[in-house]
Amino acid sequence: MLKAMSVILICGAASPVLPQSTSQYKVGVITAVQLHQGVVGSNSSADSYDVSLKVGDVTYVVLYTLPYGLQTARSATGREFLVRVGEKTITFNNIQGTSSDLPIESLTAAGTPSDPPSEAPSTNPANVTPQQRTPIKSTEIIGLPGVKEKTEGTLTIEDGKLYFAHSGTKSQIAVASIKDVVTADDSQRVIRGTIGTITMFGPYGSGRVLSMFRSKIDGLTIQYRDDDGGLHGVVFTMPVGTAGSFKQELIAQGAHTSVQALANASVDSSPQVAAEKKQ
Amino acid sequence: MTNLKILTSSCLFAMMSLVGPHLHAQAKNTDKIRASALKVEMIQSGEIKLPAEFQVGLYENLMQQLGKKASFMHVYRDGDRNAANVPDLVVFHSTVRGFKQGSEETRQVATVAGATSITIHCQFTDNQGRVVLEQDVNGKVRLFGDNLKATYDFAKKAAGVVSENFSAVGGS
Repeated sequence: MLKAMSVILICGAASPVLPQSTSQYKVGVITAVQLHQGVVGSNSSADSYDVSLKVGDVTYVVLYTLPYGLQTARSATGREFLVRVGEKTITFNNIQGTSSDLPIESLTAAGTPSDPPSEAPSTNPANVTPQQRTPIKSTEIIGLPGVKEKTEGTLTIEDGKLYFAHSGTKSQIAVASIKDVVTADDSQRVIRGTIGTITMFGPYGSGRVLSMFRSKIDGLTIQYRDDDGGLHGVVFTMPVGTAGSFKQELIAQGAHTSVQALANASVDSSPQVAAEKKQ
Repeated sequence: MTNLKILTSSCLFAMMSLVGPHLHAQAKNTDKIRASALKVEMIQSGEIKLPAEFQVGLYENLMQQLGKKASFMHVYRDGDRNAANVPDLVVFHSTVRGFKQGSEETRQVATVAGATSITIHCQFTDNQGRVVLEQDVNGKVRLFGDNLKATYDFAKKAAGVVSENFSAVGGS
């Protein structure tokens, strides 16, 4: 009797939670289909395609293998599917109701034109001398569509695009769509994350002493507009002394800023940005 | 006999757990403002000096939380051209009324000091510009986390305000 009562009580307590579980499926639109480069000219019976799939603000390029041939795959452009976006794969259901996992090859934030920036005016210095910076280690704090908060990766400026590469995928923002780029200085605990939190409870005030060991970092805040004109913002952190030059590079490639940095300043010193941002 | 009483009360408890939240939600829905879409304008700081990362942090956290909690069919960003043709659009304006930047280091060393707090005046207007709701919402970080956690705290509370006061047209 006691067991039966326990089961009823547990079920009763858990039942309000059940209706709250929501499906993670979203509507995705196929925007482009291209023959996968790896199989051009091959006689494989099953052709592979790079399918661009727009889900919300993010366009994913997934590898899709279709047995029906080139014509069938290309005619899929514009069709909508219910998809579930995972970390490395996208799951979708076909007409028969069979679900398939497609590997994500790359992802692009909205606002990034698919065409290369060769059509930009020739006055743009980036067109005269296309530059490619050494990737800078950085952490995306918030804002990049399709990327989790506090994701570590590398930032690169290449061919008029700002790339953030992390765990095998690349997110990109067209530099020309950046409406504002601002730098700042900051600091962070040397011991961070879960261990950092646990050390706060160290005996005899040792946790408090450990929290005083901090490393300086630079912050880079970007605001840009997507294809529909929607405003987005992204916050990055990077090693101290790198944000200023990175910002100048972005401006040289067509980004705008509300705060013109001093020639030798590593971070912006305008009233908009607090001079001291110790955390 | 005692067992029967316990069983009956257990069943009643289970039934109330199932039905209670639904009845409560239905009663609340009748008082809500109905709109199909929400457009979130960028946070304005006015004369208060708000660092750019806080402005962006507030906005992006707000968009994330509204996407999770609010029941609108669409949540549009500032400047999104698709919002222009929505008939029953509600526009979310937010202005910073107070900002105190604390210090994570001070919080962890002194515990009682170094809190970061932001107070934002949230105003919701309809297509004609009439104010349908306005309220001050604050965000704080007192002990754990960096200063930007205050923006997350604000976003959660603001999304809660939206969820309590608005319901989607044709939605539940």
